[in-house]
Amino acid sequence: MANTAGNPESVATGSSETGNSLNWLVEQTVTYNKKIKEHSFALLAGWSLQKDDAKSNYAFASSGFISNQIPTLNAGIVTAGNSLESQWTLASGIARIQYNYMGRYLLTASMRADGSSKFGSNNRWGYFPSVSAGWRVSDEKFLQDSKVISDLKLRASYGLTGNFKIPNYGALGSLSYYAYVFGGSTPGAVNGAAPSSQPNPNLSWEKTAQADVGLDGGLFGNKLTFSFDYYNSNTTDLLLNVPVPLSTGFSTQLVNIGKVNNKGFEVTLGTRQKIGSVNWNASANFSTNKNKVIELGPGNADIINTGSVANAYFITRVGEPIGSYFLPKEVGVFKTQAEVNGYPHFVDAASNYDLATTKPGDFKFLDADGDKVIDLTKDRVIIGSYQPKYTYGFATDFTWKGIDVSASLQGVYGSKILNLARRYFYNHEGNMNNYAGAVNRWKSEADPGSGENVRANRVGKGQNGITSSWHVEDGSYLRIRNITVGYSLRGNRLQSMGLNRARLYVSLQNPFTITKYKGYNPEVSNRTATTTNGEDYGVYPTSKTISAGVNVTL
Amino acid sequence: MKNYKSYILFFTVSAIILSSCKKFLDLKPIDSPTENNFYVDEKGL
Repeated sequence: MANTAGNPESVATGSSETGNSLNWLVEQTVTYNKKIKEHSFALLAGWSLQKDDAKSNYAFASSGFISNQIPTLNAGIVTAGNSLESQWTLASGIARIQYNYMGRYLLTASMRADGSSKFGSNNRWGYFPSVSAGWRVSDEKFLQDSKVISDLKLRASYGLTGNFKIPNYGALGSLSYYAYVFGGSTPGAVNGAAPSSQPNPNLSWEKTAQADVGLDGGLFGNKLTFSFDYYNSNTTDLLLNVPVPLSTGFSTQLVNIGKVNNKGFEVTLGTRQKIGSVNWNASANFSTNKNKVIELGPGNADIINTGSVANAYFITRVGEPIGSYFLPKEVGVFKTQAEVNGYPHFVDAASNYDLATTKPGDFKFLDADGDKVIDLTKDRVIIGSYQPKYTYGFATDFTWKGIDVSASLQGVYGSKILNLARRYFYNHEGNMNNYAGAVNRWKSEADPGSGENVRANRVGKGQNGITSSWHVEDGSYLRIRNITVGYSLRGNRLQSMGLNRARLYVSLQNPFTITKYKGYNPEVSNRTATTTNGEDYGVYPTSKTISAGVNVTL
Repeated sequence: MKNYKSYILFFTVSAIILSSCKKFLDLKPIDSPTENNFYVDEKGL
């Protein structure tokens, strides 16, 4: 129950919410193994059924609480509530055959069929075959005696996978309740229902076909190990909410549309060394991915989606990464009135007494279409995307006598974040603490500041508050994930206590992050859809954890 | 012999389960109206 402390006139309210989710999975498989001389076969067949059922109840009492001593809604008058239930099911069949000759030549083929309740009645089932081949080169005679190459395996694979991450009844046309007025003076006198989303009985699986070639190996008795992969995948029939003509009565429809290509490579290097009484292990990885939209719907028309605030737009366009930011481009701050006069700028309506017309100290936006007019619906351009150019990681550990030290780090480079929280932390409105850069804001024509921050003004003018490239920041970061130091005790004294080993340790999780990003956390996205990813609108920072403890082995 | 019994049991259960897949996958919203469950009686119409 909420009641404003010290204000006896406030009205107490209360709410109660319960939820439970039941997810069950039944899986049955049968296997058959056969070996004929040097030929080995392994067959597997099976099926699985899965069902998810989520229920919740909510009740709200808006008045009637006469005592704080009764903590349940029973003490008030319940005026609102709901009872929700949502389900999905998945049925799958799988078959796989594995073959190898002397453990040297490996071949696997598999097939799975998945049916999901989320899709349209015409297309519930998706079929996903895959095949892979491997060759353990190091088992060949010409490498068996090598003192350099101790392990080497070449592999290649091709397969289809499916995605069904859409709302539970996404293919069905849903109705919403509306109140209608058929004459009389009482609004909402008649309740009815009308379609609120378009059905799509042909909605089906989003499919990704991926080809992968790679090699794994070890050198010098596997003291050095390496792995390399190159992949090229095409995702077709993407599950996207696509804008449709408003004449249909709807703004968007969930459809299978388009094709997106992803390609890149991944490299992993590792080492295991023993130097005297020191044992050292280390591994490093590096990967790149290039994402590009290949096809969209009829005419390859752009798909434009909105973010969490007005004018925050994302675009999915052929030839560009999916879900790129699509915003006016800020190209500086007008330093003088002469600059304002000499460049296209925002002009407020005469009926508003030109109050919001751009002045010195306001943002300068790119006239992208070159028509000498700043029109923020026409002058938007693509300003990068949340997808990094490459990612990397490193982990290492040392042990020396009883001491052990380990550390790991991870990072990305080249990602962009739409930091919408800048509209608060850089607004210079004096209503909350601002970033330090506000000190170098535009103050006068003689003191124009850094040229990056607008003038202080209680209310944004000259479109200063509009979502633009000024909100897009470099999201590159390097994060120390973990540092752990431990010391292990052994000996007679421990054994006399009935203990075999005791390890004291201190561990730091996420102790440091090196980044230019001004938000709380560069690993951020308010939104989960691939077409609107990378937005930060004030999420919580990642927690830093220090833990210390003792591991005891009896 | 025991293996054959296992296989027979597996394929029998599989046949029963898979034959009822259509109904298992045919889910409708429980807590909100759709075109399939609203315009079906006098009140809905």
